[in-house]
Amino acid sequence: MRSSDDAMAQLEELYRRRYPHFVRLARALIGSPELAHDVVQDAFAAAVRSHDAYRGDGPLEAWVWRILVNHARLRARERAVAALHGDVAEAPASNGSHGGDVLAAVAALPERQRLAVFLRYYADLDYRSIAAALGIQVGTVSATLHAAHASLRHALEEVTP
Amino acid sequence: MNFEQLLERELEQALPLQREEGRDWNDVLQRAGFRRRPRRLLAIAAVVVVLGAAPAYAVAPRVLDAFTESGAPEGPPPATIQTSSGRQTIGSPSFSWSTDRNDGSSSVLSANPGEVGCGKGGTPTITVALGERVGFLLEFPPRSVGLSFPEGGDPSPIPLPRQRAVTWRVDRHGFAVLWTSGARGSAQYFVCFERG
Repeated sequence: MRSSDDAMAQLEELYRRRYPHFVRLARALIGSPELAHDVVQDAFAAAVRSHDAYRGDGPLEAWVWRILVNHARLRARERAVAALHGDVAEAPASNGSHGGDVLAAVAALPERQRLAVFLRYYADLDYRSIAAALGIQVGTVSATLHAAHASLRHALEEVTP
Repeated sequence: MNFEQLLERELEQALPLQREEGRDWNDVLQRAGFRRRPRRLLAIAAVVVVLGAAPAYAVAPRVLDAFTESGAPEGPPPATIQTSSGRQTIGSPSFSWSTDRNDGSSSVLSANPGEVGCGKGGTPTITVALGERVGFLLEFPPRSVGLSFPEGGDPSPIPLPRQRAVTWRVDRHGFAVLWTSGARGSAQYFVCFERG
């Protein structure tokens, strides 16, 4: 049985160790470096506030990734609405290199595939942790990433001379 | 190099890991309403930060340490909850909010609510029935609005429309956090939904 203090200490350790990865994933999902930091702070605040509710029946890190993904999705959705109304300028997440093509291709994927790709490559999570973070089965993660790879291979072949 | 390795390399180039970005665990604790390091927070509390053009997250804000039921003078405006039995105004005891100063700069104020929850720390209680629709009225144009129930095991916010007036159909009771953000910062409003 995990104590409340243990969970808090683990949350802080996770935050300090993996902060750049959390910010990068949030930035990939939202497209804004400034909002990405804010989302990570809010997500960890939510985790801290609820750490007593964490049941310890899965990896703590996957639980936090799930919270972060949901916070980022909320912000991304609001940002998309704001962009429709001209309230925010859409900033490209990429650095303008050839990597922009791959980000554009990932952005065009269905949401579950996009999340799985980002969690795999930007969070360095294994299939089990991705499954826990997205609330799906491990086998579904495998199938989702397989489909994403096929779509990305096709899309990138089209843009690569 | 197989396709997965190629993809990994391309994604890394597109968005490299920034290892020196600003971690701030105390800011996390403040947003969560925890006071784990009171001595350090007291030190921060003595500082009023002039922002200029710097983004709000980059500086240590001045910290309040009170449950601001009526809304702090420099903090976010209170929100109103509308139910079938009437209206109730609630302050935001947890926020990071910027205020313009006369010299054109801005100051940032943060509030730490201390202990919150149903029956704790002055958290307002609203009696509602399951299925009832309640309205949240904000006095600023929000950039994001979400509602979470942190004691239920999943503190992820339920997305609500990005509007000053939003409604939510009650599907559970308990301690709830209304997450909001606007041009001046972020504010969390706490409320306890009690079975009618």
